[in-house]
Amino acid sequence: MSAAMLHRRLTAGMAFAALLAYAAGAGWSLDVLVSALGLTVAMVRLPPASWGPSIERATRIVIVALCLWMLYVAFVVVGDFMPAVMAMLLVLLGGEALRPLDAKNDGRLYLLAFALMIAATAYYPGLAFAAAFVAFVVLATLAMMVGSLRRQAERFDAPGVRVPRRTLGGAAALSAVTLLVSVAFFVIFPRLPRQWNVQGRGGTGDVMAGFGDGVSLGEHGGRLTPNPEVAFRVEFPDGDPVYPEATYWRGRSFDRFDGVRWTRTRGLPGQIYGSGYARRWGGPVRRTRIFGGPAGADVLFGQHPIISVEPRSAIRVRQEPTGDVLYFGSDAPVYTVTSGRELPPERLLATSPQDDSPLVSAYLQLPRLAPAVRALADSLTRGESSRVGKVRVMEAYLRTFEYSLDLPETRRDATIEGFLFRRRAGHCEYFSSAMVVMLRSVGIPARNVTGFLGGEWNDFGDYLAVTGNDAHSWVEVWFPTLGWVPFDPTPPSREALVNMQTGTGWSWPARFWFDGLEHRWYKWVLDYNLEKQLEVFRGIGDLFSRNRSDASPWSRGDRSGAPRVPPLVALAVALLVLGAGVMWIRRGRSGPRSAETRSYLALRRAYERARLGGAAGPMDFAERLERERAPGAAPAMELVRLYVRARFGGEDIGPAGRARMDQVLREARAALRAARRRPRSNDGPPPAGNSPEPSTDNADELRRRRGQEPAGV
Amino acid sequence: MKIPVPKSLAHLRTRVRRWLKPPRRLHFSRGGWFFTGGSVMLGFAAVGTGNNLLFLLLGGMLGFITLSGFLSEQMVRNLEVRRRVPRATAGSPARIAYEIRNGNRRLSAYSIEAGEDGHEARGWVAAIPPGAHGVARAEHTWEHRGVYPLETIVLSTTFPFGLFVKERDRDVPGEAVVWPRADRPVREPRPSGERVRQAGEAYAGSAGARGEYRGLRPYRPGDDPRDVHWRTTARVGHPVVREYERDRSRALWLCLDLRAPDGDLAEDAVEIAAAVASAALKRGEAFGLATQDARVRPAGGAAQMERVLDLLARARFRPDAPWLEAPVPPAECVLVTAGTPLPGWGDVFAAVEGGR
Repeated sequence: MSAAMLHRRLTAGMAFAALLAYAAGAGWSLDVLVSALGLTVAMVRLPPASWGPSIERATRIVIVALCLWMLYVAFVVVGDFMPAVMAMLLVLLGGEALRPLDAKNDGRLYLLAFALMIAATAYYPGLAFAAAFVAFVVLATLAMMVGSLRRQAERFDAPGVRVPRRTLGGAAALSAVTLLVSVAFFVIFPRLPRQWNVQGRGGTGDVMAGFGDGVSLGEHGGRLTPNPEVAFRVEFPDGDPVYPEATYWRGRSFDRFDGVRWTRTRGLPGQIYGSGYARRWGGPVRRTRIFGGPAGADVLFGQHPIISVEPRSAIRVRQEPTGDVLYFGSDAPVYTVTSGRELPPERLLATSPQDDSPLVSAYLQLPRLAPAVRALADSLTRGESSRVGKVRVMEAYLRTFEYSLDLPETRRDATIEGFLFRRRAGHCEYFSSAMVVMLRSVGIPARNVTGFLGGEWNDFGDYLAVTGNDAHSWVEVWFPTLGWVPFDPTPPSREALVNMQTGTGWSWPARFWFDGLEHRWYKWVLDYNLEKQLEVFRGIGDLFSRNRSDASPWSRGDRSGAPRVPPLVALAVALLVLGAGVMWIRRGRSGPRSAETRSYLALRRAYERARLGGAAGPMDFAERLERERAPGAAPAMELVRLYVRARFGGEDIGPAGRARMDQVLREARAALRAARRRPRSNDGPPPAGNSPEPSTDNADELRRRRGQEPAGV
Repeated sequence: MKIPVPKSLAHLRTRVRRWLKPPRRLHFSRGGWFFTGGSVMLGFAAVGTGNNLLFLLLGGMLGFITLSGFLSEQMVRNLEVRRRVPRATAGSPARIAYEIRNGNRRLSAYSIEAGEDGHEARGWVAAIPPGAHGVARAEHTWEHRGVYPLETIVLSTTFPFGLFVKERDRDVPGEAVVWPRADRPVREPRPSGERVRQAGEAYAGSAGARGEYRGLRPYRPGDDPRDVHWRTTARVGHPVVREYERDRSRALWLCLDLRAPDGDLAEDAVEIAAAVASAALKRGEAFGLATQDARVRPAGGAAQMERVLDLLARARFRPDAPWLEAPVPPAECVLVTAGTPLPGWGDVFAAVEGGR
């Protein structure tokens, strides 16, 4: 295979890796598929060069169409025109890959692939990006290496150059160096505090039900479909819980029910929330660190009662008077939740008064219901005097029902009455809604709460992965002195059903391993920030400390204090590395060329840029400039004469001579610049001053000088 | 007051300075400027947005730069070079061959360029395996005849990515001898100076054309094809020609007068002398050259032409040169001069007349 063909295939492969990275975040849309098709064809069998113009024409037509679309979206619809821009980029990528084997086309492919890679970073891609990035680096190493050899071969007219397979293997192995530097730089480069920057996060996906502005009961027919997608992951900094699968992750609360749909009333007056719970319930606090959130939900999750939420990514957090915690910002939510004890002490519940403030009257709203519902609630609570007793008896009653993922078959059955009196089976929304309705019918303020229950514990990373299957709904009941207390009327059979459902997704052992990797990816790469960086540095510093036994950089101990000063050994090593780096750079940048040679070479470069190079020796060069009346020929000749004296005549021209060389170099450059600004006409007189017609004296001088270049015998 | 530095300390300082400033340089190629500029811009974008994946990409770009620096250093580090300079003719391209040895025991050296410091021309060799040799040929064109000193060979590479040019200098003293052009149209020398009898000059045994048969020798460019000894050529596999004792009765003495200012006329005179010698060679005649500085005894053949051209390449005109002494009576010589021709010479080619 020729170097040119190999170069094209590698470049197309590199672009394909960038495309995979992009698709990892943005998904496989039509434009991505078109680009993938073009790149695949370029890698497998490049079309004949005669097709080049047709392909180029077709690409241009599509680009123009996309351009018009972009303008329409930007100025007429006034919407997001980025999809059109990305489509243009992708079509260009596919089109360029199919163009003839020309090094310039490959150069454009480099640029487009790199632009696509940058675009991919904006979509908050998952672990697939990591794999695509590795492939991109390896293929880019090979493509750039082969490309460099190819360009050199073309420059020196050596078309038969082949790149041995062994060389390619070695270069691929060397790309590990690039990856290592990349990772080291990623870890070491100082991050700004997260308030200083705002990270974009694209990618929408389907919105997970239950965490928007409303929840509906009315669906009927069929069965709830499992959703094993991870909603968020939870770490427990204070130690692993005994049974994390029984933890409730509270999200949204709903106060208004119309018989089918739960909604929230905006601007409900303040109640107890935040630190008020810690004061009233007492007991130790619990901390959880949560990574991510369900798609499309702007709510944060935590164990009830949520006392405080500390964001750890570029988001802003607001806790509503209802206790719901919302966030703003396009970054993926990463936050630490501090919660109070799980439930208030039993004696406080039992002695809580029942005279409710008018502030919670909104939680007594009821839809139009069959009288049988209220009758049922009354009959259940007749023997109970305390509020907690009434709640418990209703909870116990509902737990005798059957948990089922099958949806009601008819609309009539998909109501609270249908659930309570006919089906006596349903999913968690029915249980919680029925309990709230019954509680309200006996005058107890209650609300419906959605969130998650449990999750899958992952030993490969020691965290809890909460999936869509764990979505749950339960009840919060108002106790005047204690606030909202959770109760769950859903029978325990739910757990077995959910486990069975999740098990099909999680039974594959590699899934745990993969999810652990993905968690690390999100935690240590996408959400790497100043705090984590300090944590890493502390860990490295600990490696040099004497007491290594407790010096694991990733131990989950409390390291919230100020970073420790690195020990002297680490400092010394850092200084040594820094010094070696400086020396290395100096070694690379220094050179033995004399000032005279540097000036002369600078002069030649200046004229080469003006396409006035080509002569072999210095005097040949200067004389050629004079012959061709090049701009600045006179100062150029003077510089060359000084150079020849110093370089070949063994003469020390001294600082004055060198200063003069610099000066005439500036003059020659100025003349070239002036000539560029004012192109010389073919029939007009030569520009005055810079390139005068050599006089007789000058010609004599020229002849005299010529003898100084070659050494006579 | 300047404090004298002890010799050992000065030596140490020199060594340290040399270590800090080794004979190698780093330049950005055009792509390198773009790449580095792009890295800087990406760095600003990464810091500005806090997007960690941009940091990862930026790290990748810096990784490419690091790898490029490391590999290019390995490429030019252990190279040894020798130069083979052909005889060049003014105005015609000549290829200097650079024989490069890769002293690295493990790594091949890729994409190595070689050329003279201060000259544009570069030769290139794609790959040199460890411990092996490679040859890069650079095409130079000198406009004027002369002896050009060659001092430093620049070895460079753009490997692996073409982002940077790493150069290393090797001091290899040498020279390029550039012959004058010999294709100028000139008339034949007049009879009085055309073929003269040898008088006083000893040239017995020198090689010539069409004299008494002396033996066989390998063919050299410029030999008369009629002298090829076909039977021997067929036996040994390469062209062999007959060599003859020079015809002592037919030798052309060219005398080049260097007593003239250097300049275009002087160059014209040199080219006329070369053209007259070349014409004599083509006619199969013996010819010699005498100047104030050196003499080439009359002989024929391509080797004689080389000797004459060598001497012409080194000819140095100056107004204060001594008067030219003819090796034989001037009436039997052909004078080539850049100045005013003097009487008494058998024939005169004056540069002002253009060799007519």
